[in-house]
Amino acid sequence: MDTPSQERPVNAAHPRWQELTFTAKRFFKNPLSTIGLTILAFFVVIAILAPVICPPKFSDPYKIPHSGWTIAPSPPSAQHIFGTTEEQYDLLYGIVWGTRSAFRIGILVVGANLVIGILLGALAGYFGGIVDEILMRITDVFYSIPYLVMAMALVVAIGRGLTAVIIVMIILEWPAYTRILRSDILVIRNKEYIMAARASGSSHFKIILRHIMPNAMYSVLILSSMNIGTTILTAAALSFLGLGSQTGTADWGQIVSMCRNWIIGLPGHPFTYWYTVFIPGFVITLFVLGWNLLGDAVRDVFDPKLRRK
Amino acid sequence: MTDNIIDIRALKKYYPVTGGVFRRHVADVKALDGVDLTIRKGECLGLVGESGCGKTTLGKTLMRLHPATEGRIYFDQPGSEVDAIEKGLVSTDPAVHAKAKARLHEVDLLSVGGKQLLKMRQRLQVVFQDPTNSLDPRMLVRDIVAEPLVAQRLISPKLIPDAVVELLGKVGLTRDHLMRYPHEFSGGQRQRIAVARALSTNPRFILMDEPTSALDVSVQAQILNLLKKLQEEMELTYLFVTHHLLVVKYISNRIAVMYLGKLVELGPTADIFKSPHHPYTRALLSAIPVPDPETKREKIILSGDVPNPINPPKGCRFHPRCAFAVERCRVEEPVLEEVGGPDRIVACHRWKEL
Amino acid sequence: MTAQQHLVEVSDLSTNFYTFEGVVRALNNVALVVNHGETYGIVGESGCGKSVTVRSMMRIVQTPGRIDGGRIVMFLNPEDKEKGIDILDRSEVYMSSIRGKDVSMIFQEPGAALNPVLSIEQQIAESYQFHRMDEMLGLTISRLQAAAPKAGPLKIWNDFRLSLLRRELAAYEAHGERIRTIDNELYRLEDASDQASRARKHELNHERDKPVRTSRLVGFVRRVPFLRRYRRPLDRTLSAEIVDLLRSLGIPNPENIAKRYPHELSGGMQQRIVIAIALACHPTLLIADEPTSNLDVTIQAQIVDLIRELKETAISSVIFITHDLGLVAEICDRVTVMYAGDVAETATVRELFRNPLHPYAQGLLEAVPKEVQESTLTIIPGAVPNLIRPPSGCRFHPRCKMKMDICEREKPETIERGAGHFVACHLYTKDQSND
Repeated sequence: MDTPSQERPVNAAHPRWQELTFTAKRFFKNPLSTIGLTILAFFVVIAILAPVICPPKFSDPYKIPHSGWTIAPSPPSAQHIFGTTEEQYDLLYGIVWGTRSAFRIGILVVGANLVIGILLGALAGYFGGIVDEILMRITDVFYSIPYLVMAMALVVAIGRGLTAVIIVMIILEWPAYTRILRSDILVIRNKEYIMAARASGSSHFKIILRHIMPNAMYSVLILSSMNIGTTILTAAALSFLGLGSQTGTADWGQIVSMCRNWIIGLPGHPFTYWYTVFIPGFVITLFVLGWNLLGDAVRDVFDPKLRRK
Repeated sequence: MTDNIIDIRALKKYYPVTGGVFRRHVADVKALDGVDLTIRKGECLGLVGESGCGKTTLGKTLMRLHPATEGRIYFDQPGSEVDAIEKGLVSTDPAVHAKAKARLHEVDLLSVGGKQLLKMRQRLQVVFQDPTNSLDPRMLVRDIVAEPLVAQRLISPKLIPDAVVELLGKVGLTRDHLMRYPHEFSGGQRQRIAVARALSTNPRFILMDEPTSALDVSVQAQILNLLKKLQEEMELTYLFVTHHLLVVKYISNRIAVMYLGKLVELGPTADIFKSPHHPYTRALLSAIPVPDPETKREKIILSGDVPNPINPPKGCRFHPRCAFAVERCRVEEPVLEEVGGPDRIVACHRWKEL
Repeated sequence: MTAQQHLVEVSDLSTNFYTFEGVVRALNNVALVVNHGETYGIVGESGCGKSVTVRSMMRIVQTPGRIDGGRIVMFLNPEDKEKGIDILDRSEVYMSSIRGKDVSMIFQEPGAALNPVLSIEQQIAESYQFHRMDEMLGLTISRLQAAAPKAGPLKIWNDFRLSLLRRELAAYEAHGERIRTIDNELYRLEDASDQASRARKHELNHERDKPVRTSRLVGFVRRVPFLRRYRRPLDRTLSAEIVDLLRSLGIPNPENIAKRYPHELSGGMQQRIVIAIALACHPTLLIADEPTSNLDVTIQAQIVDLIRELKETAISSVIFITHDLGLVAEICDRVTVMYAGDVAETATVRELFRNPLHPYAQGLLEAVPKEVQESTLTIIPGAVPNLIRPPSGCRFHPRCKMKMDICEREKPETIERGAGHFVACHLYTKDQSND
């Protein structure tokens, strides 16, 4: 009688659990992925402990307290561990609460993009025909909107703030997710197991949910995990350009924006105010690096060519 | 008159070809160009032909996996009923015509929808060629085999696990194999899983679309024997589509030969092999490599390549490659005629002389 | 009985693939002998190692595969048919020089073997340009000389062309001369294994690998935009040769086909083009790895017929790999049956079909549907093993009806039972030791 290719005891753990543990093992085999995960874990801890590390002074915890009104930034001292930036906003406070903003932006934007992308991508990819055509033309239109113009228009419409930034990024980035999911679905749609599912009588919805999604998810997941990092960068850039949150909000991009006048420093002493640029810049870099490493590791683990079978 | 389980009439499947800047409809790939075929209850009908002949398209259109362009397929209808409807459809009396059309919507596999379609899916099942691609790599075997049962809500969900184990037993697999993924199995085992899935709804008819072409020789033998056994045990009817003539000889009762979208010859297996009438059938049979070095056979080597279904030759489609073509073959398309009895038909102008 | 001339002797060949999951022991001390003038079949199921064997012979095993042992001796020297070269010892440059010229290979999917962006002519020309450049130059020169204009600017241009082409030819001839001298010495030293000889062989191989030294003038002119047209007559010679080649393979309308691209041709025609490329330089050995598995039965008959014809006229031997026993029966003279990296049985085709000795060969022959099929097909239970953890001893023992205790422990030796009939099975070694 046929023997299965791999011998395994009958009472082994549920195969999905085994899949998970196998994936986790592969994940941690790669030193870079462990580093990425550590970095992110560190940021998560900071974000959770924000009220403990820096108790908020105002009712809105995202308003950075400032000790004084001197315009020039003060260097790191016992009072302000990271120093202060323009108008004496405490850098440490900004960085710590900025972690929360960063996570919020990243997860909201990418999450919304995923939802929209999956919905529309599945419709376009699975049903094809005129639905596909219409959706693809719509994505074409959205692709051709210039980023900054849209951002500025939205800021004019609903005012400055992180909300505007988040909305802009959702509006302008969902096409990429739709396209990627759609192309994966186009490949899978013609596979025989989809035809077999139709011959079994499964409804379209069931087929999309049970067959197409689990097989097509990978590219989008990889894209999204890597995108969280770039989302933060884009948000920071928008804030730097003045389209993001108000001055004094705990948001890394905003903090970098406040150092605009102090990058050069004093004549003769170029890097007097290095801490205003370097500290938020370094934190952003570290955060994005963590997400990128994670995204790389996710890709390596899920890449069908690299997986076993 | 023996009962036909499937009666295919005038089946056409055209794929439109678009060309030019405005993507106009310029031509059609005539994958199926008017096929009439009947499949009897309990038999295994072999469908053979080369690439471009339309055999795979026929199977998939039958299973409603591709929409047909034209035609009617009757499932398990008494012959008299079918004849009545067919007559009604060509009748000049508008009332009769309308009545026939209405009746058609209830019995024609190609036009049913909704609940009727689901019922059809219970009765007609399919086993595909490539066992690697026909099983969802992210689903457990248990879920793969149970999918038709779940989708068609045939039995209560509590009874499904036992039903699956029973099905696996029928194809020679065990309970151990339930909670695994397809990639952990060999090609032959995967094909067994596919067969178990096809059997789950207790169908009357199974389309076998080249089920052993992707398997090794020794495994092929296992699967063929299994299919034979199941056919007897469960009183199934098979349509066995393949290009491998010795396999079809082993397993089928009758053989239908297709060329470029049309049926060219049909008859009992032994008869077809002993005395093929159509020149294409002859060439096909003589081209089979026989695993016996002692037999020396005169090979009929056909000139040229299999032509394109977009522009089939005028007249008899086979005439450019036929050694026996005459003027009539270039002009007039031959119709299927009976050779001896209703069981044996061929479409060739010159079959009597050859 | 005339002693057959060996063309390839493979002995003790082991090839392994170092993959993520483990080491796949694809070939397990494989041995076979192919003679001049015969069609040799290698038959087996998936995973048996037939493709890996011939790829090892051509040294084109894909990474992560590596040839880990054995000898592959080829007797390619036309002057001295006794002198063999162990090609596992030679450099990659040497292998490039024999691939396409002495040994050619065609694969299963003709569409994948042809470059979609080059025309048919360009692809066949590649082979000519690599191996037969001197011949083509010679032909061009004589053609230009015969049609030489008498006077005027045309004469100057013609003389210019001729002088450059002659220089190129001289370079190739010098290179050929150098190779020949080196080869002669290498042949003499082939079996010597002492320190001095090995050092000398290494030095010679290194010398041999050096490319053709064309004159500086030629190198310069080839870069000058207008002047480099001097090579045009060469292209025309190539075209004419290619059209002749296509015609000899029975391809209708060869001038037209030569200018086309692979996607415009049908599968059968593509496979014929692949064969044309393989035969461009008249190789001694043609290796065909399942060349007809993807083709229709009637087209398969055409291709098989073509290969059979070519064996009479153009090539000496063919190694034909297939899983179809019918094809083996039709065109092969001798055949090897492989299973899971082992050679199970080797015999003439008649012998094998009449009297298969190895249980696997017997099972295979019984499992194939035949024209006259009295009973149900007998099956071989089980499935092909995983080669990362192959069965111990004889790799077929888990599925063998006649398994004995020793089969699990020891790999059976290959013994000869009857003229040219080799089998590796303990059933027969037992008999022998009992004699």
